[in-house]
Amino acid sequence: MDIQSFIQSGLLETYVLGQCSAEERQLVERMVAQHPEVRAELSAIEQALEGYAAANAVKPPEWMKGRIEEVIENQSVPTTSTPAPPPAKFPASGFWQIATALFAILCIYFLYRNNQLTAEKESLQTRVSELQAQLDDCALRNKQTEKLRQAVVLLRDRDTRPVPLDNGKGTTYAYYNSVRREAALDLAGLPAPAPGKYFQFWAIVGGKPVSMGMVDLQSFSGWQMLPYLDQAAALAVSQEDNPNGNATPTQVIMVGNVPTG
Amino acid sequence: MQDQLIVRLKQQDRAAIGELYDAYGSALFGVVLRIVQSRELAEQVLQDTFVKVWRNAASYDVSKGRLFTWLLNIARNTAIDATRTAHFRHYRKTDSLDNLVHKPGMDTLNPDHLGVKEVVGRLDDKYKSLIDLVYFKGYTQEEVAEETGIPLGTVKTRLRYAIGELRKMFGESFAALFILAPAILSGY
Repeated sequence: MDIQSFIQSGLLETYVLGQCSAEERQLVERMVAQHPEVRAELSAIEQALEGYAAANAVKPPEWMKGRIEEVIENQSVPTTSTPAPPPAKFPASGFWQIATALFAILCIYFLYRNNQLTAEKESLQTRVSELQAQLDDCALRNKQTEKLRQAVVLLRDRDTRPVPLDNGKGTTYAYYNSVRREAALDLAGLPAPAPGKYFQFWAIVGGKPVSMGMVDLQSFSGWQMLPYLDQAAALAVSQEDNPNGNATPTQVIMVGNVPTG
Repeated sequence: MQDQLIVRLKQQDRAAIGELYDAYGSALFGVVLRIVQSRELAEQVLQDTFVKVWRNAASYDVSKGRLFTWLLNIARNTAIDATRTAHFRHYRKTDSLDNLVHKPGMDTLNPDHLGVKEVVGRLDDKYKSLIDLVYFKGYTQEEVAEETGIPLGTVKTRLRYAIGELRKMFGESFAALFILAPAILSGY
């Protein structure tokens, strides 16, 4: 509510005159508490009426003051401190004292033990997850070792023919074995692909390129076993935009003929 | 000074009631006399008032108004209760308001020290009688309107005007003077 219109409303006067309803009284008391201007106004009204009352004062008889003091003296009920509550009692018998003490000690021990075990459990959980990570690592290495073993078996075979793949700057080798019907690629001689590009491996069969899958540049062993295709006249590596490869090579960067015989 | 008095009252310091009486006894007695219209009964009412004040000192809330407003409310209510005996109810119902306010002989009870009467005399009678009825005697504004035949709106407007006039007469310094005056006078 606007303070000025509240002051002008006459409610403060009504309040001081003791004429307010309960709701009006609450409103006035709230406004007085919130606004210093309203409080000052209320105080001024009170002082005016107080002055008026003083102007209409009548002196009571002389004995009145003494009488009032006497009545109050006689009526006053000593309001001294309330008695303190009785102190809490410990169990009376010695047995219960000992039992309580033991129980308390046990509680403290279990609490301590609980904390200790919780810490131990946490450290064991950490160890378990470490070991799990090592296990996963081992499984991966086993897989790669297996690939490497396959590559070694292939390389040792006398029917295996090396296929040099040349891009003019360097050479890498693919290996082709028409007896074992296996093929592999040595990744060591491959250049790095351009950023955002991927290598795809091809066999030229009957004059047409047939996809042999993507080159796995992340291969741990540096060797990649390839699917075998019959009667490949040449092998090639192309650079592609699609990480899953394309149906036909986009840009052939290395190529080499498979030797016959 | 007043703040300390309030604190001591709340702590039930007996010496405080004497000081409170010195400061406000005469002003309250003037009001009580106007309501009960009997010196003997007024003395009883004043005594009862101070006993109530003493007992209920804890309930006084400084934030809700000045000490005197609270004291006057207790005195007024005690006085009105006292008049609600069969005799006084009859008296009040049959006597007209105007007669109550301008009771012959009551004016002589007003003090005429410090030129107070002259100051108050400047207030027009029609305002003075309204203030007296409502502030001193505890009539509701509706009752005043009903009994005097003045419309309620006019009663409210005149009351506000009257208080405005009183504010000009009794500024802060003036009020302080009147609070001290009875104490000084009691020394005579």
